[in-house]
Amino acid sequence: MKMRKYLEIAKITFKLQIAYRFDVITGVLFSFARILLAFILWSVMFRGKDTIAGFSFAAMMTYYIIMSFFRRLDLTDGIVWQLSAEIREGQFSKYLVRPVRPLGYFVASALSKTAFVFGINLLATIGYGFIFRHYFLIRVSPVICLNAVLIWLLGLNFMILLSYFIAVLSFKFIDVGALNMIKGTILEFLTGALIPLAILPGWLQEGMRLFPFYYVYYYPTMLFLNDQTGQIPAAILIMILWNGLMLAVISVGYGMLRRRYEGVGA
Amino acid sequence: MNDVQKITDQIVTHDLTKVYRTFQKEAGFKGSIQSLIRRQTVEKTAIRKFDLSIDKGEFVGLIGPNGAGKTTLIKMLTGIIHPTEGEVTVFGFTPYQLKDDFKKNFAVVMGQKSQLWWDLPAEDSFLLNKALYGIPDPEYRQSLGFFSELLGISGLVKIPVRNLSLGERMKMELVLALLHNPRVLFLDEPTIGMDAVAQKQIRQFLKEINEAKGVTIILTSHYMEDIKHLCKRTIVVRNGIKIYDGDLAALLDKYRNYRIISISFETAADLNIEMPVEWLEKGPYKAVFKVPKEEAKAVLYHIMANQEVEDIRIEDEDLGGVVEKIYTAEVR
Repeated sequence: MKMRKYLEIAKITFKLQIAYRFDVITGVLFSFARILLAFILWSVMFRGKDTIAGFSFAAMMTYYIIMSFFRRLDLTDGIVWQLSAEIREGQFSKYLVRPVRPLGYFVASALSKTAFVFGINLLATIGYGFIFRHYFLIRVSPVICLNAVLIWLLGLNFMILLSYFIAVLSFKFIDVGALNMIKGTILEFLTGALIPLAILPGWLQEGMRLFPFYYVYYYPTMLFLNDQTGQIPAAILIMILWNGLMLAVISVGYGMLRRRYEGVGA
Repeated sequence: MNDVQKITDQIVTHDLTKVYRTFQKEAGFKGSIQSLIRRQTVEKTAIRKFDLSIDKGEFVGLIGPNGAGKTTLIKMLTGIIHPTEGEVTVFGFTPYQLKDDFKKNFAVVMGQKSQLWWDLPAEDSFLLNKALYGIPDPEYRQSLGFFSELLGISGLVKIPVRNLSLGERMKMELVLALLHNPRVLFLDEPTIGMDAVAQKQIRQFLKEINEAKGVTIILTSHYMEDIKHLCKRTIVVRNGIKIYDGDLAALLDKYRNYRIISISFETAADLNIEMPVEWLEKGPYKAVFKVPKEEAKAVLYHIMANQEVEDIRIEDEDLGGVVEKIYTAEVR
């Protein structure tokens, strides 16, 4: 029964994503254009070079394609903006008066949005794979692929929880926009979205392995490149621990801060 | 009815108090900089030692000027906010504990806050609530059919909410709120901004569900017509304090101290006589005046005896004026 209600939240969020046809078509075209632009950019960068930081052109393209695929699926930033505005403007009341857990609501809603973007990006990625198949290197077993997807899902869940926690701080601080922007900038670096983390010194990479951000996009991407496959069990364990810790932090934080909610304007 | 039964069938508050803490800032650039460094906190008591008892099936109007504390009271009764002091129970539940079993017992409709999904047909929002409240299929179909027929909305449930009129949207909000058959319905300004026809339909609907389904309804509205037509009992709140709790007709009667009398004459009238009236219009063939209700009979008798009266119309004092007097009256 409980799962059914969250499934219905996911369904209605999905329906909303496809309510406007123009938006859907633009989304598909934009995804494809991004990959084309990246191809042109890296072609210029690799002119006269065989490798950059140990990556061949094909490996770099594969890294970029998979990394940007994962990044596009992470829409958790929207949780902070939406939930924070709802708390500030008194709209949060709608979760309090209905039999639903706000955290569950946002997890279901975020996963549904990811599922929608997954569909759109998959189309673009398959299109790219077909046209530029010589530059797309995936040479791993299905088992590694499944593990990569599992770790990515744990990473996505962690990002949902982190965004939710930042938004919950709005009960006390009202506006958490600046905090969210700082988070975004730091994560850009820590997750390897800016540059491949392999470029960084070894000791720094070792340290980063203890934190969840390493596993959000970067590690699953490297698994698809058949790298670091021996650390899969440790990666899963670390992500489960971080998800558990984040849940505990949310539980305590929400319990303490929710009392401050005044439902202004409601 | 035993004590336990009585508690689970009542809404009760005792010494309920809510104090908001907020920041105060001087206007202008200097004030903004000062506020950044050191903020001045002020406290405002929105509800003060509020005692209330509402029985199952009652239709209660909650009125008061803006900022009186009506919405704060509803927010505490629905668990949206925590009381600062005092006790509150709604059908045996403590609202701010926010238990799912409690939430399934009530619904809240706020005229200015929609719970519908704007870009989707209302039916999608209905299906979401069906899942959230665990409404079985047959019950869902029966309730939807009942409400659709009563409100005449069957042809509208598949149209995106953004394409509906204000009145149609409010009908959808009401259906959404009532699908799970709540025992109590909190309504905050449900007819705000609507035309007279839509207001009348909503009133008729609320009356019907109160009588047919026995739903306890607590209604907040600035439209006295809503309160007058629907609520046998009215609670007046001012500055967070309950200043009246009882029959609306008795309350209006208490504050309706005047009659408005319009008289037309067959021949030019001479009205230069001493009468305890306030002239609103004074002409040879028509006069309109305000007179204390206990003097009305004598004044009319006097005019009819001395003038050629063609027609007389006697009206109650304007409702708005009466409400103003109620809101500004001395608390006894």
